[in-house]
Amino acid sequence: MTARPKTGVWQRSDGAVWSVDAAFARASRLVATLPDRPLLNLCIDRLDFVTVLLASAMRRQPCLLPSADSASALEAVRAGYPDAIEIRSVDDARTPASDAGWRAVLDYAGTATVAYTSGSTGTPKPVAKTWPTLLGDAACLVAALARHGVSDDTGVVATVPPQHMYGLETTVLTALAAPYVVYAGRPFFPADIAAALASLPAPRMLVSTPVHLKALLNSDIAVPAVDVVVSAAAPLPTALAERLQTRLACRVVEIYGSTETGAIASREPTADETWNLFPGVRFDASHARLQCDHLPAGTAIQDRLEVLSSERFRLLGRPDDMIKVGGKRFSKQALTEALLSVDGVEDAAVTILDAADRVAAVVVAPGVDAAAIRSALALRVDPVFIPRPLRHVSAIPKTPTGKPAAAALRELLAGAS
Amino acid sequence: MQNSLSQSELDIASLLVETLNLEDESPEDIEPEASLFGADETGLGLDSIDALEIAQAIAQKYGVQIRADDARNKDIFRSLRSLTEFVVANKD
Repeated sequence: MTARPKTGVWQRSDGAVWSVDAAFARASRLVATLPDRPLLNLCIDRLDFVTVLLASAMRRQPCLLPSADSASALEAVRAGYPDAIEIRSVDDARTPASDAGWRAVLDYAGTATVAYTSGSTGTPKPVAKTWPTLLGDAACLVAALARHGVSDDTGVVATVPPQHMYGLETTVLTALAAPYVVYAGRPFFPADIAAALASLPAPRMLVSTPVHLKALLNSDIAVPAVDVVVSAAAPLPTALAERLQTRLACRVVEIYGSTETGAIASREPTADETWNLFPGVRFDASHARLQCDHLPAGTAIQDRLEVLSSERFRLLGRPDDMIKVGGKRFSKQALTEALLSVDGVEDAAVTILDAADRVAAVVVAPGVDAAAIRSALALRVDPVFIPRPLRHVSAIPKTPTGKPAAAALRELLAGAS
Repeated sequence: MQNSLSQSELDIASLLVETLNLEDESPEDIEPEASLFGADETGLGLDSIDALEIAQAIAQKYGVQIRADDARNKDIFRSLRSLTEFVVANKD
């Protein structure tokens, strides 16, 4: 008999820990009680989520993962699966029996999950994955996190939902590939994050997004010792990464990926500008496509990259990230970083105004006027990219994943001159 | 429209408008019992990132930490009135 990889557990706020076997036993009971229709997995609790995921696998049906629990997101799922059953929680009434049969149940090549990308623009798009892809993804992610000092028995607290690829990978799939202890709840506010971390034994990893991490830093909450903070979903400003590293005395790891590819690369932004592909993921000889056992042949990265070797790249910008003014190009992210580097600017977002071929920005910068920000920017940015209008707001409108909301930004700027 | 905000409700309403940049809303026009997050006609249609910003502003101004795994969380964020009651009951 070959040694099987050790698996993890989900720990609830009551301290009870649930193994994958126990989750599978719950899934068996769930399958017995529900009509034979696809399951729309809206569970916030990660144990309930994995129960519904395994129940879907037992039926060889795709587990449907909406981008949010909102009417429009559910409508997007129902367009393809009109008879899907919505599940938000799973009844825990009975003591779990142990059942070790889940590995065999996952051994099929059909669609395992259909995740709907939220996207800051456009309508949700379904992305299907198989179990071989999901399990391969998890093994690569665990190996990559180990390179950043995450131990195999780490505790994991995550603010991201399990329905999104990033949350699915870090808080559900990792526990199928390594003995992680995953906090089952989804802490949201800084006080929740601190309490969830305190409930887990060390070492600890916090999985989050720039918007949640910034809120955590800005609060006065005492945060228990964290060994590694992981960020994804939106670019992590270097200054925020440095503050996290200093305040929490932790390693800060940024993960790169997409719903289509899953997480594929990482870096420690306080030390590296470039990204390293995960163990098991490489660029092919043409440097245009990825070679990876668990991804479909020919999978490519949508963003603009400069490939430095078969394992290393520099991110030049997302396709919608480039601003073109007067024939010159600049990345919105680079411009945003430049704004954030001005003393007194706490948050910033840039956009291009449709009518005028002009860069516009909104900033949260009480006490620094637009003229001062512009003259500070002029030292590092080509004059055509200096935002005009540059409007002060008290908060930047964001999408649920923390990206600046493009439509809301344009609305904010519409009245400005 | 019948609308009677207490002074504390008006304070929290001002904090919401200021924190979330709700330029179309005046604090005194927020319906005290309307849903903050629901997208019904009178509601503000806020999202979870807004909740994070509100919690941060409330922590800074009133020293009250909001918790999501508090079983009362849904009730706390139900409306301006429920949020105000929570803050008033928990502030120093």
